[in-house]
Amino acid sequence: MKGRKLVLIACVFVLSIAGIGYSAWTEGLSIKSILSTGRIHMFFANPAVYAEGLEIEVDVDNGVLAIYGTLAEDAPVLVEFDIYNDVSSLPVKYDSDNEDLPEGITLYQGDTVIRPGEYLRGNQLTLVPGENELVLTFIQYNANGGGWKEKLKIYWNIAVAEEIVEPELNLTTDGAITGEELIEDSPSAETPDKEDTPSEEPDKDVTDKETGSDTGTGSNTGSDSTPDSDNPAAPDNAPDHESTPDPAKNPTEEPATTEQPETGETPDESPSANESSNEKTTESKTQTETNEANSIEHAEADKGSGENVGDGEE
Amino acid sequence: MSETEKNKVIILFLLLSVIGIYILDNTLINTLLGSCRFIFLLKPLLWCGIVLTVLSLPARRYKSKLRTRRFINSWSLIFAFIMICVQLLAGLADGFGRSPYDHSVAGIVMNIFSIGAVLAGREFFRSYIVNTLIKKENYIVFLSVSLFLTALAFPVQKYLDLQGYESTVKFFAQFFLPEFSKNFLATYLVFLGGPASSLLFLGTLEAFHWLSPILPDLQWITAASVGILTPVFMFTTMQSMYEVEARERYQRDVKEEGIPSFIITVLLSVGIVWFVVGVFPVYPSVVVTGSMEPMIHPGDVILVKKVADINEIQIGDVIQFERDNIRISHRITGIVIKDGIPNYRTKGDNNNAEDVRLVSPEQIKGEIIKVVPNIGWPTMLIKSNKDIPFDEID
Repeated sequence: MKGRKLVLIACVFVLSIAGIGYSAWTEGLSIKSILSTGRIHMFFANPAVYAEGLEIEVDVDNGVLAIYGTLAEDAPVLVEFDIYNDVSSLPVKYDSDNEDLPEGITLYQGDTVIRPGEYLRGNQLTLVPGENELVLTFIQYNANGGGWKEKLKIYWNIAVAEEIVEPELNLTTDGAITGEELIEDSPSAETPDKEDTPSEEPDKDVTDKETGSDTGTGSNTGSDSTPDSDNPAAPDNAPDHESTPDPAKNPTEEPATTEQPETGETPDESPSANESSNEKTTESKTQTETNEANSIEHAEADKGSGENVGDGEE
Repeated sequence: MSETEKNKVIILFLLLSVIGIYILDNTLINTLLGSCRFIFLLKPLLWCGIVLTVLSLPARRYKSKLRTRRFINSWSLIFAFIMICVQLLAGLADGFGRSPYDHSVAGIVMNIFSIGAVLAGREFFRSYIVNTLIKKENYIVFLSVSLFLTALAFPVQKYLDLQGYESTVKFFAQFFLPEFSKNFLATYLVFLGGPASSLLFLGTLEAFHWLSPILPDLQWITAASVGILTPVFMFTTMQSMYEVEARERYQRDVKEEGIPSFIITVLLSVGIVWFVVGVFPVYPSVVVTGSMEPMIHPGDVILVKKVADINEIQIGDVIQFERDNIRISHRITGIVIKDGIPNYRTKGDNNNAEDVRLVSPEQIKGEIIKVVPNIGWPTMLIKSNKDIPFDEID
């Protein structure tokens, strides 16, 4: 019993000394702060999608490349993009050790270490219409199971347009203006004939007109290259472009754009709607060429400016 | 050669063997042999040799009879689980950390072999020494054996690294004394029930330590209190329970002895000392001047809450700060930002003017949260007026 008491008293003594020491040595202000030893920030750059009717957007902050829109037909879509290692403090590489590259995507020289301020250029992705996403993980170049990592996401929501069946109209033609009369009266009839108008893809234009897709964009580059995709047949499409071609280079432009509203008043109510439709096709084709010209110039301008920025940062 | 002399020779041989393993473990020989090979192969084999040596010697009789052996072993296991629970509870207060040990199958097998062999060797050695030297409880032997095995539990470099009071006190409080306390209980268990009892206790603790994916990450003062007191309480409890179980004493006598009251007294004693010296987040302080009247009078005791976040301090709070080794309690009247750091303008409620000097964040000790009137007078009477530099207090 005596020994037991001594042991307990010794414990009290020892712990009291420890307590005094603890209070003496833990005095003072402790300042807690977080020190980051590095960071990775990557994003998609210079995206391009080779299909009509699609828009492509880049969310730099969140590392997302979004593609959406409506395709005329169910076909694979080719997307090109660069990957930019922005203000990171570390070189990075694709995490090929832990992730198999998703099917359909090709990272150009995917094992390359991307240094801060450098691009991984010429990457391609072939995607099929629908809604889906894929994630690319980039890691610290010398990571061995740990380290920094950044995820980039490609998201797409692409619909395929359904073929529109034109309703059969059994309206009376009494007093109605026929399509031929309309064309004769219309100043647009003065536009060059079908033979005079360059026609590279007449069938496609008809299809585009029927499906409502934007015939003015062969290749959408950047998010602002398809301003009228919601209303692809809008007659005032061309004037909206910043770089309208010189009318002298394309004499069909002015009548086609200025007179389009009149020609489109009631074309389908005419019994000779098919004939009128042919004429409209011609007009639409003319419009298409104009938009293509504008769009190409616009795309080149965008692309050029993007590369300049990239080169400057490099 | 008589039996006693023979025993002395055997004990000396075992002591030298254990010391020899410790030397091997702490010298360049370890490196020459290859650190990994030594830790995972040679060292366990050497300890296995100790086990085999002890087993080849004539068996020693333990204190307990066979009928109480099961009782002792059961309680050894229960004590181990209680100890783990206490550590986990302490971890809830202080936090947990990821275990640094290898938890792959190969790693677990290697650790079980290397740690298990060392543990078995130590407990067989302990049991043979204790049960050869004494037949009755002997605290000197208990303490000596515990101290010897505790000392060998830490590498030489650990002792050589101790410099100054702070690191020494921390090492002894956080590591050495808890290990000693645990060894003391283990020594008592081998005295009662042989190596099996202590292996059940220490083996369970080691298994938790080496196999658990998370471990309590305790402050050193928490580790000290839990590590020292828990085995000691278990020792006193085991002692009383065994005496009743072995019918050495009556239950009535043990109750009269009041083991629980002893434990409570110890806890309270330590708690009061810690409260007064400022281990807890709130500590008391005696006020000797009237600068904060009518809120605080001389002789009042204030309870000061340590400042966890400097941003919590607002204008109007009464804070305690230290300047020139004097602790002053005044009210904050303004905040002045200097180089992006807040400095505090203070004033005693009973003073005519604000304090001349600003209070910087590192001078702040805490915020006054409660005033207990008049109970500080004994302290003031004990201290002579000369001890209190009134002139330097605003």
